Amino acid sequence: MPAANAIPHASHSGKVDSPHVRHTGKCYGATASVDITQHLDPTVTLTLTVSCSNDNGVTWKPMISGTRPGGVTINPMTGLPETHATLTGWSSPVEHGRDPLVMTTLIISNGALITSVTASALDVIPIHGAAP
Amino acid sequence: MSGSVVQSAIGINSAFATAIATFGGSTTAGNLLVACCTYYQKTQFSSVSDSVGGGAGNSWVDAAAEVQGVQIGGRQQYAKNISNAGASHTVTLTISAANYPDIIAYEISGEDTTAPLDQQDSTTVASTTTPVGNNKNVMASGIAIAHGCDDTLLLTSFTMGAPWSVADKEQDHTGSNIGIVAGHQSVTVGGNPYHSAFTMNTARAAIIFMSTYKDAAAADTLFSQSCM
Repeated sequence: MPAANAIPHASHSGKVDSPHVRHTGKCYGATASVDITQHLDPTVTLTLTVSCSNDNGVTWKPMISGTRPGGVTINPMTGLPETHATLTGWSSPVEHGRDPLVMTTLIISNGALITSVTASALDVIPIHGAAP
Repeated sequence: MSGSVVQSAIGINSAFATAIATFGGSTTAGNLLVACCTYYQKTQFSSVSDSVGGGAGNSWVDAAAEVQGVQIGGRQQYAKNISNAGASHTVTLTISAANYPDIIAYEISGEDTTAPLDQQDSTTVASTTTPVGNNKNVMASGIAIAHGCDDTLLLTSFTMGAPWSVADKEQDHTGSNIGIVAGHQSVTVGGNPYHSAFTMNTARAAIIFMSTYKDAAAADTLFSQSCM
């Protein structure tokens, strides 16, 4: 048996769907973070999307998303290079779901990238005004 | 028909070149979309666009024109009488580099489908705890959308009080974004001049925007008067 089969992929290209994560509670929004320390090639573009399903995975709705070409981004507050790129988003009025599923999708275009992603649904909006 | 906010959505990203606001409910054809945008590098605006379920979107134009602060830029755009509408409707702010884009998107019903934009104001404000925009005499009843951002990237509370109704805001300058707040209110022709108004817990410079949009019924009233 080739040993490579037992080695988790350290880098990948193309579309990779993460395992679905069941989120208990209402799905108001989502936040996600992707490691960009190795994302330095400007010809490589990363697209991160967090989707939510309120029907046990039958249908999926994108909640937050962002794209970025490779390169260094300096944090304007600290003056230091960002190690992670973050996404946060939500909608109003909120969609009330029961035990929604949350899925992250990472698409790396025109190359490969060593990275990791974390994502979670938001039960409550940490800083939020009245809904319209 | 009076304009009213159907729904709103916010997308706040750090080291990304796009910020995407995704409406929770389906949008409706004929409605108005408004995009409130801020971005860290004031010269890096590229475009606002939208997509329904990954498909076609609508045409966007400036409402409140771009203002460039010391470091931060912003603007407000709208798409009138949308023909592409439905579920999973996203509105995207694209900038030319991965530099902290923020967007708050509104769907508004009941507005003029032909020429909805009435008044607009975009301005920079010197350091104060109560930045306000310029007075605008609205020409038709409708709805006003305002948004703003602290231009100094310092921790502050940046919000809006009555009569503005805040839809969404993000103000955490200690995190990985620059912050944005947006609100709306109904406006009436012949009322006091309208302007955007914000409050901060510490005096800061700001960039602020306001656009007013005409109710669909207002166009009918004006037409009737012109025939008398």
